[in-house]
Amino acid sequence: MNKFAKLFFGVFALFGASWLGLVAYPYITFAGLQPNKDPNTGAVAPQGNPGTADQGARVFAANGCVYCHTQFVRDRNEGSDIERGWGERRTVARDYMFDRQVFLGNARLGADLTNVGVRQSDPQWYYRLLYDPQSLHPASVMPSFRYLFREQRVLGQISADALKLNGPGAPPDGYEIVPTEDGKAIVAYLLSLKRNYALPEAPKPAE
Amino acid sequence: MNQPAKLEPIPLDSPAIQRPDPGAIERVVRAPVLIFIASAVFWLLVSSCLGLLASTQCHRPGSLVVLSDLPWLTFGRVFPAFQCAFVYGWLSSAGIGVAIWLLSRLSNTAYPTVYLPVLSAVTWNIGVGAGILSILGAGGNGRELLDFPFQAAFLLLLAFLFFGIWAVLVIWNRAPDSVFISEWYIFAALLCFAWSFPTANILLNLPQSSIGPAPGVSQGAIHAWFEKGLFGLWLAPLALAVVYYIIPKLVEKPIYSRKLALLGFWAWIACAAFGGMTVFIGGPFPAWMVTTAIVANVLALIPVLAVAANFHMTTRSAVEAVRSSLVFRFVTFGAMIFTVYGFEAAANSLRTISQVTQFTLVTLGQNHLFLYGFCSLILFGAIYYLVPQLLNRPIIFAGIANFHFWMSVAGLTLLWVVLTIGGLIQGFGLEDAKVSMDSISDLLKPFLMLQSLGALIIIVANFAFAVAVALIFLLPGRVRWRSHVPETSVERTPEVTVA
Repeated sequence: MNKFAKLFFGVFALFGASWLGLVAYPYITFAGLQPNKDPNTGAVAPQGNPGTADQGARVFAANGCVYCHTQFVRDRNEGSDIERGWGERRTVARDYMFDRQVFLGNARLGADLTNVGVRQSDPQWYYRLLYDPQSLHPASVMPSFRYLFREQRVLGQISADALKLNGPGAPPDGYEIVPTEDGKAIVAYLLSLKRNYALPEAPKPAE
Repeated sequence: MNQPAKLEPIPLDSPAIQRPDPGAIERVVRAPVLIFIASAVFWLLVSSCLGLLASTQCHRPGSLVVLSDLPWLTFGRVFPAFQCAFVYGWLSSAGIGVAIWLLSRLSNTAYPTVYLPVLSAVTWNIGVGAGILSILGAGGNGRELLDFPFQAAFLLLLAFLFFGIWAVLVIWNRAPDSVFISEWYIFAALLCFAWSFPTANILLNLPQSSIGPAPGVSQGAIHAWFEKGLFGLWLAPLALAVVYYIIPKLVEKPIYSRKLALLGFWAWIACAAFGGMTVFIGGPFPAWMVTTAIVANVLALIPVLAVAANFHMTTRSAVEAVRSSLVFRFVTFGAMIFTVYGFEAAANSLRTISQVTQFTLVTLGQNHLFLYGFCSLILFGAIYYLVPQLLNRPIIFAGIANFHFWMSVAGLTLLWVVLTIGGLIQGFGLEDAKVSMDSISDLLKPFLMLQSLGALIIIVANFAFAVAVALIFLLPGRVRWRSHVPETSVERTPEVTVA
C-alpha cells in the first residue's frame, strides 16, 4: 500500500494545486466583485439582468446556441473582434458578474453575441432570424428554430409580435405566426446582451 | 543481442506468491466487463448517428426544414448529445470496463464482490440514457460535456462510486507485488474523475444552492479545468493504461525504460491539470491563468515524447507477426496519434497560432484526433484483445475487424484534414474584419459537406466494429475455461513495474 500512498499524495497534490488555482481562486475572487460607480455621473455599471432575460438564458442553454456563438470580446491586439464591431472594448470579469449562467463559448461558426443587444434592438429582427435564418443571411449555417413559434388564428387585431412574412412562407389568411413563451424569453435575453458601458479596467477607446 | 541494455526481466518465479489462476479472475469479472463493453458499443453507434445528423445540419440547414419542426433534432441539441454519448457512453464505459479487467489482472486478485461493478454498469447506462434523452428534450445545460442535467450526472457519479469502491478494494487486496504502470494511470484517472466531475456539476449545474452556480466568469475557469481533466486525466490515463499493458504483452518484453515511464506519468499529470485555460486566450481572466495553461500545453510535449520514445523502443524489435496483428495495429496507431495530438495541442495553444485557430473547426479536429484517434483506437484494440479472452473464443471474422481498422483510419484522417484546412480558412477569415461572416460560411460549406462524408465513413467503421464484436459474442463456441492461458497470463510475460 505504501506505493499507492505515494501515488495518491502525488496526484492529490498536483490536481489539488490546479483546483486551488483554477477553481477556488476564481470562485473567491469573482464572488467579491462589485459594480462600478462612475464618480462623475454616479451611474452604476453593470446593472442586474431582468427576470425574462434569465429565463431566456435557460432557452439559450437548452438549445445549444453556445456551440456556435461566443460571448467574449478579445482586445484589439489579440484578434479582430473589435474591428468586426462585436464590441468597443475587451470584456472583463465584471461584465458577467450578474449572469446566472455565463456563456463564454469556444466556437464561432456564428457571430459573437457579447453586444448583440446593442447591434440589433428590434425584436422583429430576432424573430425573423430565429424563424428563418437564411432569409436574413442566405449563406448562414444556422438552423431554423420554428418550434419557438406557433401559428394561431388572428383574433381582432394582429398581434404586436407576429412575424411579418410574405410569399410562400406566409401563414394562411386569418392566421399569424407568433413566438412562444420560450421564443419571447430568448429574444428578451439576446436584447439584454449589452456590455457597452465603460469600466475603469477596460476603458472604451477615446472618441 | 539486439536488446537494449536496460532490459531486465522481472524474475518470474519470484517468491511463491499464491496467484489465482487467470481463468478464475476472468470468470469473476467477466459479467461487469462485458456489460460495460457491450453497452459502450451500443452508445458508440448511437453517438456516431447523432454526430452525422449534427454534421449534415451544418451544410443543409435550409433543406432539412422538416427538422426545424422537430425541436429534439435541432443541431444545438443533437451536437451536445453526440459529444456526451461519445465521451460518457462510449469512451468512459469502455474505459471502465477495460480498467476493471486490467485492475483485477494486475492485482492478481479478484475481489469476490462482482455486484458492485455490475451495479455500476447498470447505473452508468441509465445515467447516460437519461442524460441524452434530457439533452434532446431541452434539458441540456449548455455547457460542453457538462450538458447532462444534474439528476443524470448524479447517476453517473453514483455508478462511478460503485466502480471506484470496488477498485479501491481490489487495490487494497492486491497480491503484495510490484505496482504496474497501468495501475498508476488507472489510479490517477480514478482520483481525478472522482474530484473533478462532482466539483464541476455541483458548482455549475446544481440549480440554486448555497454554493452554486459559481459566480460570474469563474464558471468559465471551472469548466475549462473540468474539461481538461476529463480529457487529460480521465480518458487519456485509461487509454495509456491499456497501451502500457498490451504492448509489452504482445511484444513479450518489458517496457523499455521505467524512468521514462515515470517521467511521462508525473509530467503528464502536472501539465494536464493546468492546461485547460487555453480555450479562453483573450478571455476575461487574469493573464496568469491563460499563460500558465499555454506553458503547460507546451511542456506537455515532454511527457508526450517520453511516452512515445518508450513505446517506440519497446516495439522496435517486434517481429512481423506481432506488427501485423490487429490488436497491435490499433493500439500502436492510437499511441502514435497521441504524439500527433500532443504537438497539435502545443501549437494551437501558442498565442500567435491560436489567434487564427481559436474558435474554429481546427479545435474540433483536434478533439476528434484525441477522442477518436487516440482513445477510441486504443480501446478498439483493447476490446479485440480481451473479449475473445473473456469468452475464450477467437476473433472469428478477422476480415471485418481489419475493415473496421482501415475505415476508422480513413474516416479519421479525412475528418481531421478537412476540419484543419477548413478551420484555417475560417480562422484567417475571422481574423480579417473585412471578410463578412456570411462569406466565411460560404467558404466553409464544402468542408462541412466533407465533414459529413468523414462522419459517414466513421459510422461504417463503427458498425463494422459492432458486427465484429457481436460475432465474437454470438457465434457458437462453448465457453470453456482453460486452466492456463500461456500467451496472456501474467506469469509468462514479464512486465515492467514502477516504484
